[in-house]
Amino acid sequence: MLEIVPRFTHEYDLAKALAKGEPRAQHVFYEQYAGKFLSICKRYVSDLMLAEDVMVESMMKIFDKVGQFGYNGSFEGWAKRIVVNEALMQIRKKKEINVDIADAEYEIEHSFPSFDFEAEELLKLIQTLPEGYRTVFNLYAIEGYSHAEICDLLGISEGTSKSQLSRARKFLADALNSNPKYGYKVN
Amino acid sequence: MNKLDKLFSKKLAEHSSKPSERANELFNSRMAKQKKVVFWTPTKRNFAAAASLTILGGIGFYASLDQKKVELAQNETRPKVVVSEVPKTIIERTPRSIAIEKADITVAKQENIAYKVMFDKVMTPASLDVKVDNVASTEYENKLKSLSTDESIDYLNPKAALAITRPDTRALQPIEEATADEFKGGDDTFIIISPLNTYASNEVWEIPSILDQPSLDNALILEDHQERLLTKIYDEVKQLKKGQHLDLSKFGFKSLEDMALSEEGFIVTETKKIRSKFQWLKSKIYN
Repeated sequence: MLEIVPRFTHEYDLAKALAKGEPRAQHVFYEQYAGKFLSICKRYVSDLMLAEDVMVESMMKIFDKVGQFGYNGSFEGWAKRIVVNEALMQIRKKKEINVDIADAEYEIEHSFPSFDFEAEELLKLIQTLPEGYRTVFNLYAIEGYSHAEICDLLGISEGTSKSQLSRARKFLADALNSNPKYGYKVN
Repeated sequence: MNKLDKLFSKKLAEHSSKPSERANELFNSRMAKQKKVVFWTPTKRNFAAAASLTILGGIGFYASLDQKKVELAQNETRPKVVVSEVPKTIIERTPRSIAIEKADITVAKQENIAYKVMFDKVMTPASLDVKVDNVASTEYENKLKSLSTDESIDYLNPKAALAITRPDTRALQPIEEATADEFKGGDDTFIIISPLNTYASNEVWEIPSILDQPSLDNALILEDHQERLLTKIYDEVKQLKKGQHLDLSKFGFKSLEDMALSEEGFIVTETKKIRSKFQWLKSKIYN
């Protein structure tokens, strides 16, 4: 039995099909983006099963809200924001994001070895970050949110956001420097 | 941009992790729970390729309500869909969608269309000649033979809903009991879309643009086309009131007679061939 696989030449075509609630489009969307979205969820939620739950929940939310997509930018970008929001909601559900206010040290450039790190390795490293560090680092460094946007999302001050980012960077740089896989410690 | 940020962003912004089987199952179960109506779910390439559509008329369900009657269109020159009543709700389903939503209906049962009844001739309402195919029960056949237009549906299996194809030729298609039961007692009208090969060929309206598809590879385009078409038809049917007719010809449906007489149809092309052969013969004789 051959399955019919619909073709969506442009992401807007897919968005329109999703807006119509087409089950085929929903499956195509899942096949296409589940991996990417799961990776995002894993960056925010370190527990794998929980991350998968968040990814599936995000999919449902996207299907539900796709009618609100304005077709004036990247559909994938729009969908990713929903995934990030869903991940943040999950963190909030579990507990308040633990952000300890500390003196800002956010201007420091941390040095780290220039090896070609594997993505999976970096992902695991991010998962070891304390939740507050991890959330701010993800939002700022990878998702590209500004500190002002992060403040709105997490309900924290800009100083706290910067401080968390700085600490996260230091944590990550230290981890990369001391990684025995690379044979030596930088510094 | 901070070098560390850049490193992580470069490596992880587009990173993908394969979801586990558990995640896939979770997704599928969430999808199955969605109560969205499935309008058209063909799964087989050959199914789609063969699926010139037969649109079966919307009907009310007559299991327990006395007053419902299907008004068969008479003396119509174009195919019509007749709606028996003002529908309170309209549900569109295919047998497949029902199978998805109602797990206790087995596939075997789904595919077992109980009866196939064809009314061959257009007769006066009082006496219809009936030809019954694949019906074991002579009792059932006799009942059908005694039908008159006005009392038609009440005589049929009370548990079965009847869809009407081409009312102008009195072609009826009973729906299997299991399917009909799901609608029992409701005032729903439902449209059934069926692949070509479910029905006798003389009941089928063919959509030229579908038949024109050069190869099976175009099944996907074909499918989109079908969806758009069916959505339009569905929108029209929703607006119908009791006794109103839907002229399917405006959606591009053609009766076989129309198709045969069209420029590309069998009769015209064969006539042209014969004419050219005749001309050739004539020229030989005179030369």
